[in-house]
Amino acid sequence: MLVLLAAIGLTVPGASAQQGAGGPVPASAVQPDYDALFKEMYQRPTDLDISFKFAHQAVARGDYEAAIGALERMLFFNSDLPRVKLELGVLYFKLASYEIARGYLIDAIKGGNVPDDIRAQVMAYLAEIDRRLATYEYSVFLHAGMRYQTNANIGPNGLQVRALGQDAILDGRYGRKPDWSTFQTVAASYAYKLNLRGDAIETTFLGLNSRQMTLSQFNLGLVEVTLGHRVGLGQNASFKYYGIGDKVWLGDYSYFSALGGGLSARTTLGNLGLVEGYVETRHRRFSDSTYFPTAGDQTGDLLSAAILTDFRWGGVHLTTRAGYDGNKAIADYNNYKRYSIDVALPIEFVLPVFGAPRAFVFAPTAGFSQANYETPNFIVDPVIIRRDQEYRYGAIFDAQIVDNVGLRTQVTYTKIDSNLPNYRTNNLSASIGPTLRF
Amino acid sequence: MRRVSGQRIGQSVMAALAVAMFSASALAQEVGKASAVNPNATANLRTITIGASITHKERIQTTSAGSVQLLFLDKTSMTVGPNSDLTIDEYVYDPNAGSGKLAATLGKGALRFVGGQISHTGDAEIRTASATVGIRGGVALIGTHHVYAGYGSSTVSSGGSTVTLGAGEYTALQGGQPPSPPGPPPPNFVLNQIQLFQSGSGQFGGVARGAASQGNVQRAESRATGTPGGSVAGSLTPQAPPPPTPRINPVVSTLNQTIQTSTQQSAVQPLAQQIQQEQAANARPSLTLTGFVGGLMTSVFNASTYYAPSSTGVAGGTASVALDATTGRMQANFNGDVAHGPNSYYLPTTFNYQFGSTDPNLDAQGAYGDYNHFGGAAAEDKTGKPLSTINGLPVTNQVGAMLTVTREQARQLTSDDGSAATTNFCQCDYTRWGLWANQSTRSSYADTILGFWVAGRPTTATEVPTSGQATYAGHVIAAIDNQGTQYVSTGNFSNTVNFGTRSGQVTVTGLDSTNYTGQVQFLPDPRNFAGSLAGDTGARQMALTGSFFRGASSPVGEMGGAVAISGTNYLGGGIFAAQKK
Repeated sequence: MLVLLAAIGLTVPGASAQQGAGGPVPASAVQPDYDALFKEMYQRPTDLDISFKFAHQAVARGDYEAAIGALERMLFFNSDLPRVKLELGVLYFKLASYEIARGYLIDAIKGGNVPDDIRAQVMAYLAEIDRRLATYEYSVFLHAGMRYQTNANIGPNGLQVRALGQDAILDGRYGRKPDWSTFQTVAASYAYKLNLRGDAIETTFLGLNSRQMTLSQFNLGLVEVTLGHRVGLGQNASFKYYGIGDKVWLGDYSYFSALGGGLSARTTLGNLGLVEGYVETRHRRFSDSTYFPTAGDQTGDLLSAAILTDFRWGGVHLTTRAGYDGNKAIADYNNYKRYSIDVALPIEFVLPVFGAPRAFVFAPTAGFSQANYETPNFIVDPVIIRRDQEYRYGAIFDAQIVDNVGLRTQVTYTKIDSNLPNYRTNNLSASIGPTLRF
Repeated sequence: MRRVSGQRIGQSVMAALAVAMFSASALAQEVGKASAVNPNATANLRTITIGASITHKERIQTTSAGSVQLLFLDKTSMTVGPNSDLTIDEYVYDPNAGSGKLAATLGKGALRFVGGQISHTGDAEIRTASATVGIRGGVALIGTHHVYAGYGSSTVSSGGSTVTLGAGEYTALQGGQPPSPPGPPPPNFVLNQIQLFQSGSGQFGGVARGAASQGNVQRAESRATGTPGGSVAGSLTPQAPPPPTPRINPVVSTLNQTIQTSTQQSAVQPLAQQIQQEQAANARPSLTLTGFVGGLMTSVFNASTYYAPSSTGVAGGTASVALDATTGRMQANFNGDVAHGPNSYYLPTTFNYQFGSTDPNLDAQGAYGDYNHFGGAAAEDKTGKPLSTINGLPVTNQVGAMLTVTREQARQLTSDDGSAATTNFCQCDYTRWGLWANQSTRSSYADTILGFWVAGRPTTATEVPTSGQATYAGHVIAAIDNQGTQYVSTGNFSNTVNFGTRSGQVTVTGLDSTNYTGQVQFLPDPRNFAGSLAGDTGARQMALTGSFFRGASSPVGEMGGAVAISGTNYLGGGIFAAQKK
């Protein structure tokens, strides 16, 4: 259970073996050469070597417009350069200026002497542009596999716990137990574009099914659906307001249902990457069950807020999430405030496998959460207020097998320190299984 | 100052760029260069060639086949299409700050604007005959009758109205009328514009024919990238779009903690209950418990020194146990009858035993340690004579005791038949049970009792439900006489009570390797019930009498009673205790 986050691949935003590797290098790393090259090109615009060197540097630092100026000059010198037109199409594509990109690409294959490889590349880009200019957009991520956990039931490290403020020995059946499980996850999104400005109706779906080999009371099912309206704010920013519905099953019984809403906003920060923030609130209604007869005590409102970043700095890719959760339950002792930080460093590389290049992503992850409860739980200890610190360390390794099919291997170690022994626990989890995204 | 108008150099194919400037313009500050020109100008006015300086306030005109690319100090590039007229009105650029201002007027024709530093940090402004276009951070295709924003955003003002174009949006301009609403460009508009800004057939942008041949271009690019066949634009194969940045789901991220909370709450609940019971038990309440006794009595006739005949029968009756926390005393009174079976000749009929005393004038003969630990010995009057009676007459010598029994002690009492190991002894909140053993004499008789008592907190008749169903689980413990051999055995007890039909379905399992099933019926006082059970071994039968007792969470939360067992050469007497599940 402790590795649910990682199991469905949500600790590593953007980490994907199918994702392109590399990115612009920091401006500071190339600025002196870059300015000097521009001056040279400015003085000698007819010098092809200098123009291409400048364009190369411009692309490296993400200044696609400067590179476009240099390449468009080539078409002044010779308008019959299909490859340069292809490259201009690619650069405009990178700027998301899809109509101009399409114009250059069509122009590139207009003549009869276009090499086959260029024609194929042009056709591939045209198809991708068509897809992006379509009135809808969707993505689906599927992952299934096997997982082993050393503490699948979140049992405390020791059987000596607190009950009614006294030391007590827990029934052995609540002690930590290892288990195998199989799991399947689906994360899908669909957007219907209302215009070219980023306005869209968006819906997302998250599904998770986990079946334990022996501890069936921890079989988990989760479905979350969101539906919202995204409003574009200029070229690189937008906000979205949306509704949320959740349904969770635990031990094959209903665990809780939730309804809520959220507001999110995101913007790109130049070439650095993406920043997104959101605030969500849900009313969760828990159901008592045979295995969890007191689950209903957690019924209440969960407020969540977080800032997410996805930055690329030269060869470094960094994703972070800083979050806050505030829970208000019908039982005061289940009220808490929780502060979290998670980081991932996806390292993307391409290696030839059986003669074909394959993309790989290795992503070390780390996270920390501090949960402070509001009042003591008299059943556990009428005096001590629960304080938990959760540490998460792990790594995800995604390997592309073919096209959009991959294999994900994941290892996660989770440790919870608490001022109450009932909640001190740790778990090592390892999982492996195929991924499919389209 | 005097401005010299640019002059078109004939109507030839020449794309002459006549530069109208002040006479002192050559000395003016350079703001850019003509980085490509179609064709070279040959006019008598200053006709720009590739590499020519562009200065402030410069006016550039092209013919029907002419075009020029201007490269500015801030890396902005402008392509001026054929039949165009462009004047650089203002250009200020601070390279240290990376900011400045660019303003130009497109008198006619078409312009492609690819932004540099100035449009990244502020607006670049292009005026046309009918509109003013502000460009921020991007690429724009501008004509006297249209504006298309390829990248970034553009504001277009005309006829007193302003529209803002996002990337990929187009607006049409009609002679001073407000711009049309932003929308997609007309079909083939962008493609036509691209071709418009390229060199035509036989044009080479100001370099020698062949200087930018495909081969030369490819070689230059390879040298620039350091890779044969390298591309400055990067991969020429489209990458699959990165999946939308998935984020850590708030529900999922807190789910682990949520489930842990539920799990540990479930785990600690029984512990807390157990502690509460212990705390309640340790509270030493002062109260009187009522209940039942059951056991086997053996009476021996000692009239002859040579011959001592005996009889064994089942003894059963009621129990009253008074607990006084103030004095630490207890008093148990067990009153009942002895059933007369086949061998009953020497047995008495009734008994009234007292163990311990709460009378402060008498010896305590017992102690009340706590609710789990109390017991008493044979009570005596002030003269030391036993207070117990048999058949209504005082006994002469009495040695005996009653005391509470724990599960562990019960297991030691039982025989080695293994039944105690698998018996789920009642973990009753309030009901207590224990051992009762006594030996006394009357006349020539010696009467020995081995049995058990159970007593609970009485409930009231009105508190007994009249509908619904409940299952009680606990244990039976009994003294057994099996063909003359006596021992103790235990078994599991279950009673599924239907309060509506005033009955209960009882099963006793594993008692001396025998299972019993049968029904009990409520008595007129609904707190009490009785019935008989049939065993599955031989002809064994069990008569059962019991009562509901108060529990911690229900007035009928517990029950207890006496059992009397009979069979072929087989007798048993004992008690049962159970708690509502």
